[in-house]
Amino acid sequence: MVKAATTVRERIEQLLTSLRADWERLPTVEAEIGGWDLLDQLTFVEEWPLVEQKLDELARYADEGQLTPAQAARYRGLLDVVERNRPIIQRLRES
Amino acid sequence: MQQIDAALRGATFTPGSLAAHTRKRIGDGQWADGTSEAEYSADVAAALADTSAGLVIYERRGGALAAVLALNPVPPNRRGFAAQRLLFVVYSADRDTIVTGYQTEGLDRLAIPARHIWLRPPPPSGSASSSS
Repeated sequence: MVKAATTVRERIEQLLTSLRADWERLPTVEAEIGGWDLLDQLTFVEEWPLVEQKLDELARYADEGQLTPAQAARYRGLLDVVERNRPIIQRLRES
Repeated sequence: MQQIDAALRGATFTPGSLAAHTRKRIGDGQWADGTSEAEYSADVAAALADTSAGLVIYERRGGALAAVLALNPVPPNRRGFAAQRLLFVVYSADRDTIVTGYQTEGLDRLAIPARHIWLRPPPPSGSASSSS
């Protein structure tokens, strides 16, 4: 059973790590998704809004000034990856 | 125990996927830690059975899908720290299985393709949850 994050600091760490992985893997996903089982393709695309929800949650923490300087730097790096790879998820959703 | 005809049993997850979906939704903070697969499945089934829920059909990646958007039926004691107002459940007609079921804050947070048909309209934005 996965243990839910109990503190904001833990939650921010969890979000930074999982979101970075989610957004960085998009080029690989786009290259390989055509070979996946249809159900796996659908699950990936239909569940992507959860990633966006988490990104919004992290943005709220950032706006509230709850990130440490190191976390803020990681967050800026994450936003660069998001900007670079957002067209990929748009293509996956429309296909 | 009386056997229920498969055609009348309603939509279910594929064998083996229910555990993964339950684990992911707890990890997302949408369901409370300790929620069982049966409880998660029951919550998804409650959304599907909600006759006031929105019902939309569309095509994605060549697959025919139907989705329900219901006021969140999850009881307060099973809601996680990231619980949302609505419960969205996607069903694959091609595979006769539930694709996913998760909570969302609103229709605008979903990515339903431009070509879709609402057979029943979605809940109005800002409606209070039915169980909170």
